[in-house]
Amino acid sequence: MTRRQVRKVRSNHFDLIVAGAGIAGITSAAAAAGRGLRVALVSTGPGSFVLGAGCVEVQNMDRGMPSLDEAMGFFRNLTELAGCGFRGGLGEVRYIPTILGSFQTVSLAPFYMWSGEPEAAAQVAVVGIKGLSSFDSNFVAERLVYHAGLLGRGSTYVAREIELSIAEGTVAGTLQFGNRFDRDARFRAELCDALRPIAAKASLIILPGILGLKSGQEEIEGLEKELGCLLCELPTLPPSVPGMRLFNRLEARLRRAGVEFFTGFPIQKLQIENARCKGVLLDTPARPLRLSSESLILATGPFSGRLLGNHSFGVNGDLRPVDATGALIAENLYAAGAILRSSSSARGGNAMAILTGYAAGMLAAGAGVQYAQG
Amino acid sequence: MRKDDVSLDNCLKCSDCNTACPVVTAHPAYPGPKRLGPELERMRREGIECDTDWVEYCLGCHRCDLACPNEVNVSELIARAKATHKKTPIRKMRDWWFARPGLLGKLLTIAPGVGNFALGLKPVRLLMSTFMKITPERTFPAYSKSTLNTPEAATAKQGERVVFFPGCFIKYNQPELGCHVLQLLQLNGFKPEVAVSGCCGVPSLANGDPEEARKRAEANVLSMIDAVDAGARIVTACSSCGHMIKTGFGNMLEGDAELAKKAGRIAASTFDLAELLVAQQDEGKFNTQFAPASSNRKLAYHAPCHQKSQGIGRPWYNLLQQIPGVEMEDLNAGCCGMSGTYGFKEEKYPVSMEVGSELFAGIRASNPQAVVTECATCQMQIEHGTGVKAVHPVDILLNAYKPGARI
Amino acid sequence: MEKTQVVIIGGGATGAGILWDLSLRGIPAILLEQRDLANGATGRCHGLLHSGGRYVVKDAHAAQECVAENKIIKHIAPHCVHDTGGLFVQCRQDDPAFFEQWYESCIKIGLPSDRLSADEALGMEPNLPTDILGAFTCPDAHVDVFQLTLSNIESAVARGAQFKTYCEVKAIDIAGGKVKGVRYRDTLTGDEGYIGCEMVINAAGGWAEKVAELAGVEVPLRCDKGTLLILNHRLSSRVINRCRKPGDADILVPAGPVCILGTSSITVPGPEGLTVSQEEIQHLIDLGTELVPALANARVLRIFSGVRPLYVPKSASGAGGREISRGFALLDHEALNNVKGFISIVGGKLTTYRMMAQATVNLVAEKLGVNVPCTTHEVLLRQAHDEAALRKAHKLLPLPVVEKADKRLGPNLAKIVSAIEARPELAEVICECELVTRAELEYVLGTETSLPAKTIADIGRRTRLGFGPCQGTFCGYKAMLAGFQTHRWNAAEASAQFERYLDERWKGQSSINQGKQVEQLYLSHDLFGVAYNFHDKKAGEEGA
Repeated sequence: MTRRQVRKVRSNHFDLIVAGAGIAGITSAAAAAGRGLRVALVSTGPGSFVLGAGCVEVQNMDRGMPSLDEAMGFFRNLTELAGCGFRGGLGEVRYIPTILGSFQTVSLAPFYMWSGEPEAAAQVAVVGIKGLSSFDSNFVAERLVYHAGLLGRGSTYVAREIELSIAEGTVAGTLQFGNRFDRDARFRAELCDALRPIAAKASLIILPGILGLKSGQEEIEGLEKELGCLLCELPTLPPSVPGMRLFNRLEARLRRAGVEFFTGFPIQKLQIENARCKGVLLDTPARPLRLSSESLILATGPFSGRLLGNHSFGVNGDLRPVDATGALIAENLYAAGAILRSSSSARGGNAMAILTGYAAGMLAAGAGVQYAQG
Repeated sequence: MRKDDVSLDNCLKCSDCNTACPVVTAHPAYPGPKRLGPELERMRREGIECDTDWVEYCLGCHRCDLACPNEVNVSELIARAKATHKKTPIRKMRDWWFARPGLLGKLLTIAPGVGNFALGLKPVRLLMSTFMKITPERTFPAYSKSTLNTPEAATAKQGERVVFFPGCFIKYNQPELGCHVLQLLQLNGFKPEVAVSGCCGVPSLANGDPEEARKRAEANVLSMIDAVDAGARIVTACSSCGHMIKTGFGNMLEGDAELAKKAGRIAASTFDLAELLVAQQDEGKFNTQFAPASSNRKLAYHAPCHQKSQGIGRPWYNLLQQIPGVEMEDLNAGCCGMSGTYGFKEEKYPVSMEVGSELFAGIRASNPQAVVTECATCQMQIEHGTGVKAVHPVDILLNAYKPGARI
Repeated sequence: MEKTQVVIIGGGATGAGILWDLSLRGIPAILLEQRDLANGATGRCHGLLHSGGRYVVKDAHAAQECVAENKIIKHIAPHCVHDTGGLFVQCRQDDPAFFEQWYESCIKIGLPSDRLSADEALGMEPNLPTDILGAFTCPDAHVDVFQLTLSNIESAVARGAQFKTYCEVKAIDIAGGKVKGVRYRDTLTGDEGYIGCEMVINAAGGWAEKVAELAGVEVPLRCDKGTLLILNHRLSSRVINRCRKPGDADILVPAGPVCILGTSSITVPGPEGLTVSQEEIQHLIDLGTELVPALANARVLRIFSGVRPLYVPKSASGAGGREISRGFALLDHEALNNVKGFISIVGGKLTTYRMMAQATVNLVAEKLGVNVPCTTHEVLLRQAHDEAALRKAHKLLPLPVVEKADKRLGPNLAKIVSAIEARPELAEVICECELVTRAELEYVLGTETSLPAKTIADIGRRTRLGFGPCQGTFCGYKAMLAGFQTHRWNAAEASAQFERYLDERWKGQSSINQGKQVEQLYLSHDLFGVAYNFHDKKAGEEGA
């Protein structure tokens, strides 16, 4: 553990405040911290990490968009450092299964999902867990066969079921299993033993997300190695265990990089004076907590209107919000992520979040990244 | 509409709270804050009988509130359920006492030697286990006659008046720590007084006795309001007391407009000790006359849940970093599981230890010389679970000053 | 070919009540419903069991009917009724002379009511406006419309009656001026069927005009749309009425864990294709806020509309929807149109369904020469619940889950108890907003119930699954899996069911443009639109 550099600065003053700990906020904070900025990350909740697994679709984006390559590379590297490495890249497209038995077309996905693409002549076992109401391997296998057929892929999907011990007075649940995977070596061994006979006859096992909320490459690749079989872990209904794992890992990575977290208190208001954002007031007990900074990135999601006075806004070419007349709301204010979403479609949302998050973080760090709105 | 009506309507059923709940993580049978809070609240308002023993297992750590993206006051909804919860006779009687640490403290410090001796006797503990379901696994903290007084006017320097709210633990179990707080304040330009205070009321709420909590809040508000209105700040060294004064007094007294307003003024003037010192630092008034380090000290910091819930950042962590020779890691390894009186209860003891297991593992992995934490019951749990010494940050800071250090 | 004595068309409360009454009098009957139970006005109203207070000034006769039926329904179906009581609130902006007129009218017809001071009323209902002048009590109550309809049908089926859902009547076979039979089509399977019968009862509510055409007769209806808002949690313990001449948005009914505000009155061409405008919604909220100020910030969960089918015989004037009497009309088409064996029952309201059924079946019995009097005012719709099963349930499930299941299932609770004893995982609560267990889910999908669910929305009507704040987002998927696991649907059918279900759930939220439900809908779109690569065509459309 390296000793933290103590800088003689005003308390609660930072180079950059990032508001929002979703994919965009995390990426922008990481980008800026990577450029040496002292970053505060203010958030309530983990954004969409609780819903999915962070897979990135880029088909709808203009591949030639400046910085898209750089942003994706940065994000991949960040996840690697966090122990939840993403695989893939802009030029790639893989079909990853979903719990509806359909396929998601993604360009980047975490390593514990990346193997999910149906390969020719592969024997795939879809493994359910007895008593788990949120995942039925027969249903998923049958639908995957159908959808794989539409794609012209030749994989065989067979449904299997394992039984795992559950705590007394409980029913099987992904959150329970995920927590026990983290805390209980005997549970991990039990899971491995249960999967072993299935792994012996399959090249890939598709299973519901239960492989821990704090785990990383070591634990999951370790399991794959033990089994001699690849795993594709699917996020089930919220809370998505793989999604929360990614969030926890990224958060830990950012803490190690010196990002200061202020978790659990909404922003009361942005302090903007003379078109310059001075900081934020957080809605904390007894008195608002004032955080000041040289710049601010708003990555607070699609329902952030209140923070900008409920006026509709656009962003200029370097991600800074402008009002209806086209004037900058504040010269040191940036926006990233779903807050920029113009339609109700969430397709490609993670890609947009990573791109704009990275770009905003670099712009705030004065790193002259080129960004043009897609 | 009442504030908690809005809060109830905010829930989007995302389960972030369940993911953050230390009891869910450690004890899969626990229904979780989402169910005990907003889900059952809709049923309660329908008139459906929803009482369950499970509400007793809520730690009151507020991690659900901090995790919620939608400003649902989850823990408050559960606390309200606790208030109407029917307990078994033994638990009712036991928890009546646990809800009144001020009373317990007064009684046990009449003849603390006797009390401490008795509480250490195995047969006594077995009796307490049988008749009160207080686990014999725990060591009771020693009670001590209070030596905590406002420093005399003659020795008090010029300085800003602050009122130190000690809380029951410092008052009855760690009065020397209280003296250290006063010294630390004096060394940093303050003129401290000790508040005439009773229990802050957190244990009353935690044990399902909001009426007692309300009485505590009223008594404390009335005893501190004059000082606050005269411009003094209130300072706490125990995070639970600080949390309660900042959030709980107003809630408890909302039925009386005048008292509620007073509670609001007090809350606005209440500071955690580290919060206060950091504010001093920003004004260039923090005493940094530290003695040079004789050797490096590896410490680990554990932020109590009621510190996180105050939303003041990590002031102790940041302050102590400045001491020469101190190397400190922020454990950030979850709730310790003690939650005040919770960990003493026989039926809750296993959950308490399971919740804390992640922290214990983190401490073992960090291998520090001591764990620094400002909550007395976190200290107890850490020492009980790991054997590693737990120290209040006040003592680290105070001992770091060189002799004769003055502002 | 199937054969029976009476075919009833329309599975709302009236049709269900007729089926029950016929079964009690030993007359074999089959009820055909084009969709699922209570698809029309029955399933799209407040669920208010009227005390009669709403009609007491203008229509004493209707009010008296309510007074009588209110007591009867509470007696025969206590498991469907939450006897909340009601208030008629004297708002400051309303006419004090009307208050007195109202109270005197109540006394005249024997509607029990007490006068309350403003303080007393506010003590009982803190969410009322602080400047009210007082209030009157009344025996208003909430009735679960689906459970009521279900109970009538289930009890009738237990006595040998039959009920077919998703069966649309295609033709009424009339030969020589006499009803011979009914041709129908199962809209889910595509199968066609024919039922030979002596009589056909048109209880099709808003579709009564259309059905009558199949028999070659005219039943002129005016369709009057009413829109209702569902609020996330109870803002009152009692039914709240505004003590003034009936108008829009002057009733708030606690309904299970939610409450329902309504309603409006707009003439529409027919019972389908109903739309709701933003103006209409805002109008309801504005007016509702006058009655219960907390509504301004309350979370609207869902907006839905239903149609009051009002019988407009040629002699009626062009008066508006409210002014046509809420009374019902029993049309003997043998006398009116020389079509022997065809009867229509139109108009009326939920509270008087049993009375309407009684009148209808009295006529049917007369025509068929069956000399058995009506006993539906006495016979309980449900047997006493199973004490042993209840005790076992308490050991297996938490208190609120048991209470809800017991209320819904009654004696059938034993079935889910044994299911859970055999498979403990069935104790899991699948719909967390409304506390529905996996066991109950499998029960309504399976073969042990006389009214199995055929779609996910059907499950909702029988259990309230998906009726809470998440509007089926989290439980809908699991309900789909339950249907797959109980072999109701194969995988492809299950997938299609879920898509349809989400569509329907989303539709009822898409008109809400403020409050937390907007975010809830967004979450639902995000979850299934992207994470599961599902429904992306919908997610891409604005305000779909």
